[in-house]
Order: sequence, then structure tokens, then C-alpha cells
Amino acid sequence: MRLWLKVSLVSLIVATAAVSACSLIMLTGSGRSNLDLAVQNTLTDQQVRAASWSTAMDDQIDRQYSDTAKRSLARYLIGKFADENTILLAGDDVIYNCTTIEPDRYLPISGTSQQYVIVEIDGSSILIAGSLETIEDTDYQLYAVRDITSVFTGIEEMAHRFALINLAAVVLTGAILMALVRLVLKPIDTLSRNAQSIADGIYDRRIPVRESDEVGNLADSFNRMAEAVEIRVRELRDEADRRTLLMSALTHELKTPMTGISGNAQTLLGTKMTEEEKEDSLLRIDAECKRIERLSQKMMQLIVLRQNGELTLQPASVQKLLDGIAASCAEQIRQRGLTLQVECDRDVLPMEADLLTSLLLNLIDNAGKASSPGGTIELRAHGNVISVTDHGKGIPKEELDKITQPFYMVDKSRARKAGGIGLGLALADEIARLHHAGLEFESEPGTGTIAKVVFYEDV
Amino acid sequence: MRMFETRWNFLYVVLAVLVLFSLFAIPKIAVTTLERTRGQIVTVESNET
Repeated sequence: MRLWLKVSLVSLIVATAAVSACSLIMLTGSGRSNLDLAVQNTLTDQQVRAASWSTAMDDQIDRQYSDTAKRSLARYLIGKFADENTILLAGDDVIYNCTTIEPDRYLPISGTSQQYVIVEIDGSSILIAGSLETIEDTDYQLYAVRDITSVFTGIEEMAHRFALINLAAVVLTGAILMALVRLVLKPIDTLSRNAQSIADGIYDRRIPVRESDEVGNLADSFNRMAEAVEIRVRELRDEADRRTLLMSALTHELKTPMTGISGNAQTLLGTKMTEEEKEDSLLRIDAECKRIERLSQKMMQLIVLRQNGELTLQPASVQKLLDGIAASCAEQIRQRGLTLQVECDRDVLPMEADLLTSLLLNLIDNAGKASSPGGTIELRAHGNVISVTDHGKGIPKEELDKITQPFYMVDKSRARKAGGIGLGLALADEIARLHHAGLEFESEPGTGTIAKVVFYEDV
Repeated sequence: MRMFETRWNFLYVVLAVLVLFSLFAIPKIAVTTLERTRGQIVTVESNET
């Protein structure tokens, strides 16, 4: 059963029970008060008539009157005060009775107090009220009779009307409740469907938040959770893609030296060679083995860097860092016939000095490979940016986004000849990320390249 | 789960019973309450009227 139906049904049951209880209280209360009113009126009427008649009798009766004369006087006087519903008896003798009712059968009066009874005669509810009046040693019973069937039928009619009203109220309230509850709980329904979508792998679904109530808050929390899940899933997918790419690239990169080693080994085993040729083959095998060794070292560094979520960065002098780097690569720069210019207007930066040195040496190495002898490489630290500029052959624009991917090389044959394995910029990118920085490249083919390490946090 | 579902369906029965009660039982109770006064002889104290 759906939630909105459960809530509607429970509310409807409570409402129906409340309305039924109220109806019952109202009906019984109303019936009782109508009956009390009818009884009260009849008692008052009977009392007034009895008082008037007995006063007149007292005034006019004489002790000398015979019983017949006394009864004639009583009949005469009651005729003056009675209506068609008044009955006067003297013992068993009927003195005055315009009705067909024998009241003493239903209400034999005893004592001097007024009495009444409600009886059913021929399907009608009849109220009989009476009192005993004693005049000159004779007991008279004076009755007032009223047909109060309307009180009973009135209540019955009212009860049936109430029942129909209740039924209509239940139907109407039920319809309104269901519509309202469904409307109120609609966001939960949407929430449920969207949760189902996320469970099915559709992560971009969001719930429109229109209200600021509990349901709105829930929808908002759900949206934030869905966004977090979407980001996490995207990260995991990206990571899985990167790993697959890395594995395929690594396999490919291993294949080249392995082919070289295998080819040279087969030549050594299967061909008669001179000592010089053998030495040449062995040197080639050695070179390929060293290449595999470098590859494995760089891969290990890359894996370790990627596994490190955070580095402990210490503020250190940028000038000192750049001077150290210039000293480290001085020989290499000299051998390539290049010049390194260092400029620094930044005092300190939070860094892991060894890793940042490795990053910048990598950029300088790349700049050196791209430059022609006699060229200049500029190493600058300005604001939150450390840049390495060369005036070499540059990188095509369409390649700029890919150069930090592992094993990506703009000019593979040339890079391999220079001993490159395509992991330098991937490592540099990881080191930059651990410094809360990013690598940015600006390049024009034929003009040169600026490689920037941009520190994103205001340091 | 099916047992809980059956339990919730019991609400329909409760609602039906309540509606039938309000349709038939309440008028009957109201009339019966009044009819109970029939046949009883009531003596009225003098200060009542």
C-alpha cells in the first residue's frame, strides 16, 4: 500500500470516528432535551389546570351537596378549564374524558405528587401526566395527555439525516484528504523514484526543491548526496580510465625495449658474429635494460605520488630553491650549449623542496630538449607562479591537453632518442597537484613554450 | 512484507465498519436511548415544575 493511501486512510478513520461520536452525542442530547421540554410543558399545563379547577371547586362546593351534585359541579368546572386532552376521574368514574385513553390503566396515581409516564398506544408515543386532588373527602385524578410521537420520529429522522451527512462527509473528506496527502507527499514519491534511478546507475537526477519544510530539506539533502555520489562515481570512473590507459601505455612502452632485447639476444644466439658485433649487441641489450629500469623507477614514483593524498608542505625560500635547481642542471645546460636565466621576486612558498625541485628539473629538461644550442631558458618565480620558458620549437595547440598523460610524447622517435619515456610531465603534474597547484602550458610552434606551475591557494 | 501489507489492508475493514456504524448503529442508539424512557412512571418533586 502506498504511503499517501495509508496516511489518508488513517486520517479518514480518525475523522469518521470523531464525526460519529459527535453525531451520537448531539443526537442523544437533542432527543433528551426535546423530550424534557415536552414533559415540562405537559406537567406545567396539567398543574395549572389542576390548580385552577381545584380552586374553583373549593369556592363553589357545599358540604350539603350529594355525590351526584358534586360530580356534576366537577364536570361543569373542568369543562371551563380543560381542553380536549384533559381527563378527570373520581375513583373509577370517568367525569371528563374526550379521548379514548384510559389513563389510570397506565398511570395509577398514588400520593399527592405529580406523576407522568410515556406509553405507546396504537403506535403513538403518549405522555400522560397526572395528579391527585382531594376536595371534600373525594379523590379526583386529573390527567393531561399529549401525543409526543413527533419527538421520537423527529430524532429518528434527524439521526438518518446525520447518517447521510456523515456518509457524504466521509466521501468528500476522503477525496480531499487523498488529493492533499498525495500532493504533500509527492516530493517523497519523486525522491523515491530518483533514489531508484541512482540505484539503477543514473546519477544526474535531481529533485526540484520548492518548499523549505522537512520534505524540502530532505530533497535538498538528497540532491547534495546525489551530487556527491555523482562526483565520486565520476572520479572513480576517471581513475579507472586513467589506470587502464596507464596499463595499456606501460605495456606498449615495455614492448619496445623487450623487442630490442629479444632481437639482440636471438641474433647473439643464432648468428655467427665478430667480437665487435657481439659487444655492440650486448651494449644495445644493456641500453634497453637500463631503459626498462628507468621506466620502472619512474612508474614507482608515479604510483607513490598518486597514492599520497596529502603532503606536509613547509614554507621555504623560493630563491634558494631556484639557485639549487640552477646549480643542479648547470652541467646539463652547458653540454647542450644553452643559457639558464633565473629571476625571483617571491620570498617563500609552502613546498616539499625535493619534489618541487624534481618537477622544475623535469620542466627544464623538456625545455632543454626543445631548444637549439645557443638558446636561453628562463626560470622565473613571480607571485604564485613559477615558470620555465624556452624559445624552442614549441608544441602544437591540440597536443597541449595531452602532454601530462603518462607515456604521451609529442615526437616519440625524437623523445626516445633523447632517452625520454613519457612519464616526466605526468610525474610533474602529480607533484603540482600535491602542492595544490596545477601545470599550465602556453606554446606557439616555432616560438617556444612557457610551462607554469600555478599555486591555486593564496599562499 | 506480505504480512505487513495485509495488516495495512485491515484499515479498509476498519473504515467500512465505522461507516456502517455511523449509517445504521448511531440512529438506532439515539432512538433506543429515548425509547428507554417509555413505561417508567416518574414522580415529580414539587419544586421541579
